[in-house]
Amino acid sequence: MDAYPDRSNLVEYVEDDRKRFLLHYGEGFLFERLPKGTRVIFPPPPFPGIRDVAQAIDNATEHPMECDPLSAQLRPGMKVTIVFDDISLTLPPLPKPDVRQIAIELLVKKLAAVGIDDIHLIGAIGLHRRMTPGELKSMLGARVYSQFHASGRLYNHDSEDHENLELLGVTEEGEHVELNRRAVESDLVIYVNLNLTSMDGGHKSLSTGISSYRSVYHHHNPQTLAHTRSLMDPRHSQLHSSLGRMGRIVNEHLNVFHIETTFNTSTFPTIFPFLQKREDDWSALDSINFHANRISAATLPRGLIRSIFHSMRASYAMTSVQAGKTDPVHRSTLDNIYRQQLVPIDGQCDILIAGTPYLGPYNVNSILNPLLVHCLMLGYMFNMYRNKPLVREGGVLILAHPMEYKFHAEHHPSYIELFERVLPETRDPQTIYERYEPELAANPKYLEMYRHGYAFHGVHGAYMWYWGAHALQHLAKVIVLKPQDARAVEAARRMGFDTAATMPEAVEKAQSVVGSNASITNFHWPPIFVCDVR
Amino acid sequence: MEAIEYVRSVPRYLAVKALYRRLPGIVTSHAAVIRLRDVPEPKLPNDQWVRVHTRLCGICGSDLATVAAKGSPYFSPLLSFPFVLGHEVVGTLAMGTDGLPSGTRVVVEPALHCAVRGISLVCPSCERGDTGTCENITRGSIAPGIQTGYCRDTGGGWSRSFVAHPAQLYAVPDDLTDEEAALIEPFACSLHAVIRTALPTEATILVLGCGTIGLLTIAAIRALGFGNRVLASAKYPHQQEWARTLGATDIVPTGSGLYRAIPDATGALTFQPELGKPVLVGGVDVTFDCVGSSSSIDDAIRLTRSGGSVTLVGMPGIASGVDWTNIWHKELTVRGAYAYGVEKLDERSVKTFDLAMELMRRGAAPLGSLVTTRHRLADYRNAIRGALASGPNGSVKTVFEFPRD
Ligand SMILES: [Zn+2]
Ligand SMILES: [Zn+2]
Repeated sequence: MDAYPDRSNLVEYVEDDRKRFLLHYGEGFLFERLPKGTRVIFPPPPFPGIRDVAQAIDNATEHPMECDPLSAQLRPGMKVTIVFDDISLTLPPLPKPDVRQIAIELLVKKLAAVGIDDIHLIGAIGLHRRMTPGELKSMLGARVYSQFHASGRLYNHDSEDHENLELLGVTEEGEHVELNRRAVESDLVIYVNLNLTSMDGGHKSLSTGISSYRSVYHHHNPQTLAHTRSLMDPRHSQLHSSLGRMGRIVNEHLNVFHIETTFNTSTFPTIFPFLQKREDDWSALDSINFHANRISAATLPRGLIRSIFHSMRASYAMTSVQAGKTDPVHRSTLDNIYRQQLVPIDGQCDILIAGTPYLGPYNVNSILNPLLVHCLMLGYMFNMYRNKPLVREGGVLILAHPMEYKFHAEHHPSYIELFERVLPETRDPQTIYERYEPELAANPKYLEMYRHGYAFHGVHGAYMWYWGAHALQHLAKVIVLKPQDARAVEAARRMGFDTAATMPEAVEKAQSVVGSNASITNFHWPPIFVCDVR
Repeated sequence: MEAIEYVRSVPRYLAVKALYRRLPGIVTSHAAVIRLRDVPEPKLPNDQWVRVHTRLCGICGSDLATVAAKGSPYFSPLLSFPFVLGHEVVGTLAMGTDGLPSGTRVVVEPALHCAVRGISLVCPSCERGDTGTCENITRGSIAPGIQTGYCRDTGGGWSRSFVAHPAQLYAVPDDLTDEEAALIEPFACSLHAVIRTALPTEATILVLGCGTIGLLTIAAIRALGFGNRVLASAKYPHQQEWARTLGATDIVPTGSGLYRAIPDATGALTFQPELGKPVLVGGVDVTFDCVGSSSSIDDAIRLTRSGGSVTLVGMPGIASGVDWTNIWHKELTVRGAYAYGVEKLDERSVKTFDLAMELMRRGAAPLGSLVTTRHRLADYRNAIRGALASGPNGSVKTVFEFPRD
């Protein structure tokens, strides 16, 4: 393995407290002064991408890890299922054509060439909302869509369709491994993975993407998540050990050919170059574009800004593709992700400041409601570390977000109940898990909306709460910077967060907890990256 | 500061309107509705606004219609007088504000919509992103006016300096020239017109008129990736050449020649009625009228086949002699396309100005050379007379230039 690039230049200490830094603030931006001495950690610059994506995927499938080349595994008349990641990846969506489209077109051609026509394409939505026909078409391209959708061979997985789920076994820890029957009955299952973070991919793909609530129940719960240090470090994550046990059972029953792809940190489209650079590197043009956009975001109607942001495509380039058996493939994927994303950091901080972008995995074409802010920041952002969290135990998190008190009724109906009925009674993840999750999971309205509408599963809102379990235990206080109005303050309080109208006020409130000599760090994201904290 | 100002004067307006055909020189005479005057620099309406120094400002068809009193009186109650003309403008920020550094090259999205007017309870148009058709153009922190260049308080690009709200500003990337930047506004209009018009893959498209807006409409069709057959009706050789360069597949004549050329190109049948222009059965699928005269509107609806659509891109006035039977009998869809705002493109939403810059930067078309003629403000008589005769004299886009030394 090559040594990782030197990343020491990505850490800057604020010397002049008049200098201002960009903080993502929902569908807008803040430009804030940070106290003198604040440590600012910037994301690593993007690696160059692979030019010919189709050829690279082809090459990987024909030189796979620990198994025969794909073409050598194919026999006429085989039953093949191609499973692919859902719309929660990547963020923002990939430029067109999507890597899933390129990979699946290639696979379908290979399969057709040897006379395989029993092919199903299944979207691995797990307990996420179904993808709409338009979203599937956009992701996979018109050709694949028209060939498979009308004939019923391209569809979303349904975790509640018990007729079409099969129990493969129970792990030594008592975890049920239940998967989509079509995949189980196939001679070959090919998984097309987009690996944006070290949390995803590997055995997680099948065991959450096309499994059942009964299966997911075993690892998406407060105990497991509280012992996950961190989500981005599978070696120290109970979630991932559970998935590993399940994966071994899956491998006994299924012939899985895994394709994983990694991406660089080129997260934003070229029309917003300032989002991709450090403030010091901004040209006058970047700076004015930033401010012009900031003004647009502040002055144009919220719904409009949301639609502009959500239609933004990333400029991600694929940096690697590996194929073959799940375990070796995923080891190589993780190495590629860390090589791009890992930044070594000396020591934790007392106060962590971070902006909150407009987009998380669960609000594509939707609203980042308060529960999703909780999950995005305390669940994901907090977990972007290896070894130790960036902020010390008993520290304070200051997160910038307008915290609009608004939910998408079609996508997140059960979230509303959790927020309105459950959180006023308890914020304790374990209590929610024991007392409320069974009701949410069984509610026929939510089941119907998940299976036939476009709603997240009834338990998903609770998962959003559990997802922050580790951070909730760890932090002494969370402060929301600049909630947009009185309702936003109410939403923040509901989740147990404090609020502040200005950065100095937020810092002062944080210092009242951790002392006036507290060390402050600004995690300057997105792009997504991971701090290796020593 | 010298500026070309439009003065509200009913007698002058009527004189220009009555005499323009016979005495085109009247538009810049002492009886004209515009005059070159020394005016004070416009004041900043509030501390959000910034001052912009003009580098180049185009002369737009709508400006010419205003100057020649050819336009409809429709707009007059929606403007505030006197105003300085000019809205196709690239300039330099004369002052910085809240992170917008002075000295940056900017183009101005001229619409004076809710956000610019400081109105937080936005109108339904702005809510949809159609800021060009804002309904609050007479309200808020500045005087009435649809655009910069038609409002008493903002000034306009036909002078060395004017004021703009940050929500109107777009920084110009270094790889675009001033000429290209001056065309962003009209190019955005054309993009908006093409995007708002349904263009089925097999549709034959007719672009009527190859002045600046007609040529930019052809460029917009190609820049947006449409491979359709595009017939361009162009009168003058340089327009025909430009139309071809920008992606027209066929050049067709203008006026009565269209009634031979379009049937030849589309297989439509022509019939001569008892009176007037020929009647077509069949024709093109989609027509963009980039002239806006009574006769071009009439041609557009006559040359479009049943069920087809006509988009009015050029600024029309009160059309006379338009035979509406065509619209009725052929069930045509006739739509206007005004300005820009936020476009829905595939599944993407993007501000038209951002899109225009993105497509220009991708080198979709060598648009900068469409700026054929530059004049100092003092020479405005020649500039305007030349622009009014841009067909015969071989020019396309005329701009005022403001060199700084
Ligand atoms: Zn214009
Ligand atoms: Zn408005």
